Amino acid sequence: MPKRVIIKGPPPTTEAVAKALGLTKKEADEGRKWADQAARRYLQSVLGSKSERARRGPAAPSEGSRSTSAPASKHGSA
Amino acid sequence: MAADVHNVFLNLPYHKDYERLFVAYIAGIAALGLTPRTALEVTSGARRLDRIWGLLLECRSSVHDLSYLRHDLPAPRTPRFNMPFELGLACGLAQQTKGHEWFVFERQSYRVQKSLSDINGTDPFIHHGTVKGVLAELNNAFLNARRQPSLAESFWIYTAVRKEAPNLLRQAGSTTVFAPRVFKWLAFRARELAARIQA
Repeated sequence: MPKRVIIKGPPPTTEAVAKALGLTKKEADEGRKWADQAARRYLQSVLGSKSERARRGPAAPSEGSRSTSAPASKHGSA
Repeated sequence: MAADVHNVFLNLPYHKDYERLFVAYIAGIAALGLTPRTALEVTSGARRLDRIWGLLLECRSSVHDLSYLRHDLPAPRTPRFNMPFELGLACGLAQQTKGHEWFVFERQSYRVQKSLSDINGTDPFIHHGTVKGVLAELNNAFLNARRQPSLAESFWIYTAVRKEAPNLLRQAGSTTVFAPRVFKWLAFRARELAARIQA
């Protein structure tokens, strides 16, 4: 079994990270601005997929739940 | 300077074929709430070895990718010894202080047992040369007690910083991500993005 490092404690502040990496204030500001925009895109992608799922209605029953209920018709009743 | 538990020394080949994996290491370490540090930060001034040692001392752990086992093409064709050498430094530090943890990453199972049998008994992390392999194995090596990132989150951070890389290369006037400024900008962006999406 490979060893593992357990990280405890709060992560360093954004200022501490910028200092550790030797960034100037301008470089750090540009990085933060980019991260704000990228985080918004991330939220949109996550929330977008959630609202899409909600719009489509409840999820289809899983294989496991299907096996304990009546067999579903694959062809529907059209 | 005392070792910071959030600093991870990243030791891998600065080769064109490793650009994707390099960004994956940066993203995966950042997703864990950690800060990647590399010898790229060591530019000039003092003796390079002293600076690398100083950087290692600032890092509580280190990741060593030993998968590059080729000879470089430009003459004279040579293998690269920097990765195993820096692993040796980390092993020495760990023996001396008992506070440093080092991890070996490889592309193929059982290969490091042949290429570097001195570390037999240490289980390497096998990434199979893939981005998702690197991200998954970093999540196996490190456990953030506050919040462990999902593979999907790590991959999202990777994709975002990877897309940003061409802009950063243009700004830095560089053709490779293995440039000090590009590395710093990528690492900081990855950390900032991780902090935001995991808040």
